[in-house]
Amino acid sequence: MSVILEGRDIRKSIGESEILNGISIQISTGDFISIVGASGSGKSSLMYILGLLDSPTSGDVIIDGKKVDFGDAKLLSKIRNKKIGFVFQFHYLITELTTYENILIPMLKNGVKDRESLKQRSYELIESLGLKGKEGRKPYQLSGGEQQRVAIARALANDPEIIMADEPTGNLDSKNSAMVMDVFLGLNEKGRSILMITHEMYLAQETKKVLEIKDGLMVS
Amino acid sequence: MRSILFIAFKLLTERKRQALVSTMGVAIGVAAFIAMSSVMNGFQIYFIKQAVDINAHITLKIEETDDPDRILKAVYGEDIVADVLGSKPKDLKDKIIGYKHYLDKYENDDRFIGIAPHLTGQAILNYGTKEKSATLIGIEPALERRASVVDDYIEFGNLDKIVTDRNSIIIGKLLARDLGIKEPGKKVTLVSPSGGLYTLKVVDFFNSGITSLDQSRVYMNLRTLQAILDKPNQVNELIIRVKDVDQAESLAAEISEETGYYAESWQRAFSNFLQIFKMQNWITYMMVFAILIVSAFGIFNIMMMTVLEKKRDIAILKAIGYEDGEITRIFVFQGLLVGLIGALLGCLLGYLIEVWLASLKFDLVGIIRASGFVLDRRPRYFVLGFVFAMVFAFFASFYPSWRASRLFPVDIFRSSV
Repeated sequence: MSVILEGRDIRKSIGESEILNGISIQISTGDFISIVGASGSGKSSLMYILGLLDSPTSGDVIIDGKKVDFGDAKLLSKIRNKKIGFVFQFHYLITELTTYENILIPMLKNGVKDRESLKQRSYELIESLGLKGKEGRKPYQLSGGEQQRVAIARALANDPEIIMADEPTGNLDSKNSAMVMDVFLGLNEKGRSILMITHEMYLAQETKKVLEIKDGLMVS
Repeated sequence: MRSILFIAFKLLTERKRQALVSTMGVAIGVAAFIAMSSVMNGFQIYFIKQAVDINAHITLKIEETDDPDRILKAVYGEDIVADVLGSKPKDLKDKIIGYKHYLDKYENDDRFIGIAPHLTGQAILNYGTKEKSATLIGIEPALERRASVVDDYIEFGNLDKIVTDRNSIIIGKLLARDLGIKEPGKKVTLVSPSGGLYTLKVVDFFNSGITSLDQSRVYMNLRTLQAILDKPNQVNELIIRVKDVDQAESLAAEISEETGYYAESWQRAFSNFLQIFKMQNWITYMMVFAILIVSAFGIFNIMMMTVLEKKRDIAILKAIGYEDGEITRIFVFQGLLVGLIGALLGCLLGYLIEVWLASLKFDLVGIIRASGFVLDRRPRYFVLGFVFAMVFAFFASFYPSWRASRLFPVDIFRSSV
């Protein structure tokens, strides 16, 4: 299995407080890694840095064998668009857009111009995530679970190598949580790498690898 | 670009009410600009054209100086301090010496279209029991036609009658009205400054639309007036029509230098009016500017609100891979779209207002006379209004858009938890 993304000795400080104290992590093709830890332990901060949304105080992020230059905003945007798909605790769907349109957004940014390809890919995702018939609905016309599945579909739109999910079930009831978890497991079975942040151990235990962060350090 | 336009359009069209209010603000601003420019400039251009063309682009005349110290100054120099008591106004040497030489000279200069001699004087006109003062202008119609557009304002086209019948005159339309003359053919009595009485026949009316001219002006044959004023072969003004009216000021200075007489350009002759017009334009454009500023604040407001409300969307767009510049463009495009639709609606509204104003009929009597609004309906006001609206829309939307692009997505994601 080849390494897709690697974090080496990542440190992050905000003012006087040290959030991450030198964490190293490797994510390979087909991995499903969950990171657990108490609130404020630095789980999300690590994901933001690995997802190139934030820069580390020191340490490196290596993607496809190349060290990422955090000073090159254009490059960071490009990698985020093509290689990483994000799912957050809140769905962050654009309320003015329909399900179909929300899924289109990353593809349009990726330069997909062919209307037929856009439609085909969107409807594939809509169908695979059990959203058929909901494509014309606005986010507020969907249930919490459906909203999160649309967010997953959006994350998958450009067929990224890795999905980063920050507490994806944190805002859902147990039934919807299970449904979202099933989606992730299904995606992983098909070879998609997933990095999931959660504080619920029962969900973490369903993943292939569980890592724990405590006070900014990887403890297991 | 397609994704930017798509998102911008969606964000804007889903906020219809706010977008509509901002758009209408821009439309009203643009329409006000077009309508006010059209009315103000229409009036001003009409006045200047009439006044300048009827009078002269340049008038060569004797400078009106009545300085009682002039003899002392001539002897002792300009620095002398003197107070001359008991001095009476002296009769000025009111004639241009060797005017025929100037006629020949400037007639052959290709910077000028024509030059014509004038003899002017004052008199009283009597008709029945009515008595009115008048400004007499002796002209040679053949030359006058080349130096002014007087012909255009002679109601029945009888300018040449003052050549064939030397005792005929053409009087201002309002002067005729004041005297009680309703149609040509009436005989009036002219009382000259020296007391001489002359019976003259009114053969036509002069109707320029400029109240002050139509109330006082009387055209007659140059020879007739020379005889009445006892100034044989004399003229006291030469009027000159130039090819480029904007050059009148510099040409006047040149002529003044060459002839030694005072050459007054139309800009100087109408400087009072031009100053008033300038002030009027300032006031008009400040009002329109204020309307456009208010509409720009409308756009600024909607964009700022959108940015504040859409922080999460901006954060996710950045996470998806949209760059700072693209986020800026998404919001600037919304502002420009409001500006564009507002400007187009404003142009349409401005056009309809112009059509409506043009259809109004009423007697306007002021410094000009007209039967309604005199409009300047050139397309430039539409173009300018459109450009102003787009510039204002751009600047009004730029700051909120820039603020949006500066949002740090991690801060938004953290604060949402």
